[in-house]
Amino acid sequence: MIKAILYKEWIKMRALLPVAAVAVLGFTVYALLRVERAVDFRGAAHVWQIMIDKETVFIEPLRLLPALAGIAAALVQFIPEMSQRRLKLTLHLPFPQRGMILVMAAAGLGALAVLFAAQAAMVWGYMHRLLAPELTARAMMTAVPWWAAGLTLYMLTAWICLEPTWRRRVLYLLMTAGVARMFFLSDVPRAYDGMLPWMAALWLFSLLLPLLSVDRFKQGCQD
Amino acid sequence: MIRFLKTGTALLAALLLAWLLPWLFSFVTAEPAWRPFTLYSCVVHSFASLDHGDDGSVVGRDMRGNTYTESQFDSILPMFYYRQLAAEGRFPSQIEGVPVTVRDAERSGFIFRTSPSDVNRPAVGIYQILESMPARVDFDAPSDVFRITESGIEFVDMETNTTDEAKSRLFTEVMRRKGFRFPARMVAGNPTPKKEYDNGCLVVDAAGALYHMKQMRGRPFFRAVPLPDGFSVGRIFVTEYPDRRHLAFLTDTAGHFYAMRADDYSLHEVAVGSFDPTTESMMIIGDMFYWTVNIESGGAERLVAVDARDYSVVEVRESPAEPSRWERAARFAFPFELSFTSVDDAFVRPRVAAFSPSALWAGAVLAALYLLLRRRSLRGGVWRAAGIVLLGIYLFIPLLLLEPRR
Repeated sequence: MIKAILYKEWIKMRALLPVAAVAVLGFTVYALLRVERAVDFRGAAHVWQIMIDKETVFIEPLRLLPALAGIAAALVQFIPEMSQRRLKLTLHLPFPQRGMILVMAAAGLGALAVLFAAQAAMVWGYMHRLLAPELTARAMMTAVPWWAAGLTLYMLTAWICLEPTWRRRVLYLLMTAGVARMFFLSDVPRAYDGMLPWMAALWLFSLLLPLLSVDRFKQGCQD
Repeated sequence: MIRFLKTGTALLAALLLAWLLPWLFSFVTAEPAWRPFTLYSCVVHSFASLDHGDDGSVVGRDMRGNTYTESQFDSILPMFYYRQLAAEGRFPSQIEGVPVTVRDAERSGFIFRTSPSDVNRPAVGIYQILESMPARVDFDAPSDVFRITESGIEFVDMETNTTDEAKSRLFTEVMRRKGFRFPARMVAGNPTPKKEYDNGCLVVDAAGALYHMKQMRGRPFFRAVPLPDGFSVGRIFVTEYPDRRHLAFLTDTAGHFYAMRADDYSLHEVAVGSFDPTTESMMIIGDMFYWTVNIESGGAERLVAVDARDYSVVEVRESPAEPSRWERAARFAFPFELSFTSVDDAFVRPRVAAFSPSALWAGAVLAALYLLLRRRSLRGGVWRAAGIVLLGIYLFIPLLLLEPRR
């Protein structure tokens, strides 16, 4: 049954995933090419100096991509479930209801994780040859909150989509907007180091939130 | 599970409101805060500040109640307004009996600034050191960086990302010979080429001892800096001002502030009162006669006039922080404030501040209102009511919006 659920999720996501992969990895290549051009024109020492003096990591153009990918993945996965109340049928399949939702979410999270891992590998692979480990770590750690935003906003968007009433959706949307803002409060490299455990806790909590929406759906809540 | 999720959702909403409502309140009610520019006058021997009169004209005042026109104000601060006075041919030939020239004013004047947001930033972990004796007049930007690990100092060429083994070995050997204990606990310097001369770096070793390191014609200059017994370095600010009198300003971990002379590494306490660079900002406007030290923290200001010749304190003025009427009102509305950023540092992390027991009353009223609106008995809604008393409006709003009417 898990295989069938995953196949269903693949059908829903198969149009999005290549687009998301091209967008995320394409922008990553673009950001790294910008660094490479700076190296060609001004030398590698210039890139080091800018990173040390100007508090930049050169991959800032990528900051919103994981969040957008997370939101898009949740939309393509969970909006079809709510249109014409198809979720009702899904929940009647011979599989534990909560497990069903978690497997669906795991499919999306897994796809996003692969995408973000590929992006991280590209950034690290390029930077570790060019820069000192301290500067590479600085760039990678700066990007961790962006990837965390992608995974968390995926779950929160699923939470909103699965909610059966519009009044609650608006409330959840406002909360999600507040949470999303938390991930983008500072451009300073490694500013979020102390925030990562809290982000992890928030993400763990967000993993369960779609179950709340599904519970309300099962209770028959509607506008 | 569902009860846990409902409670968690309400608490998440409460935390978001604890962050956003105080921010919104202070954003809407923000008022400009302004303090007049103040310096210690070597002529009238009092703090003097520049303010604006009711008609918008510039008015100078000293702390003895005298007022000055803009031109007179220039005259009582000749070491600061020396260019204006020199242009008008009014620069004095002597001050406090000491012959002075415009050149003296130019050379001895300096402005030192540090703020918590400068100090509390994520460190890179690699440092740079200039060539102190460049072949040409101007400094070149460093071509390498260094790190000080447990095994020694390691120079890495930035262009090739490779370790300069010979240079690393040379510096490590000299440092070991001088008694340096690896790794470094702190490295301070100004590796910018845009300066007149280079004082190099001050480095604190693993044992807390202080060393002066420079690079001269590619070779290490490394010298132990004697510190008083029990002295524990807090922060170091290497200075490179035109008069070349000082090597650095530094603090100890007990909050004392010191000036270190460049000629003999002697340490002179500047008794400005307790100073913590991680929470307080400091500005020193100095000349060869007096320094005006301005220490600010949380809206409070401490002005200290220091005799530059012997570092003795001449005059102190303190202005406590005065909360605005809106800040006072916020204490009754918000039981606490949650924020993730601060003007005092560059980190993002949750910080809870401004606890206000006064807001418990508002919380109690809101709790009663909640029980009334949701038609709950005190027994049935005791936990929610207690939560609202403690978290006030932050929990009141989510419970009203997220809980179905009964």
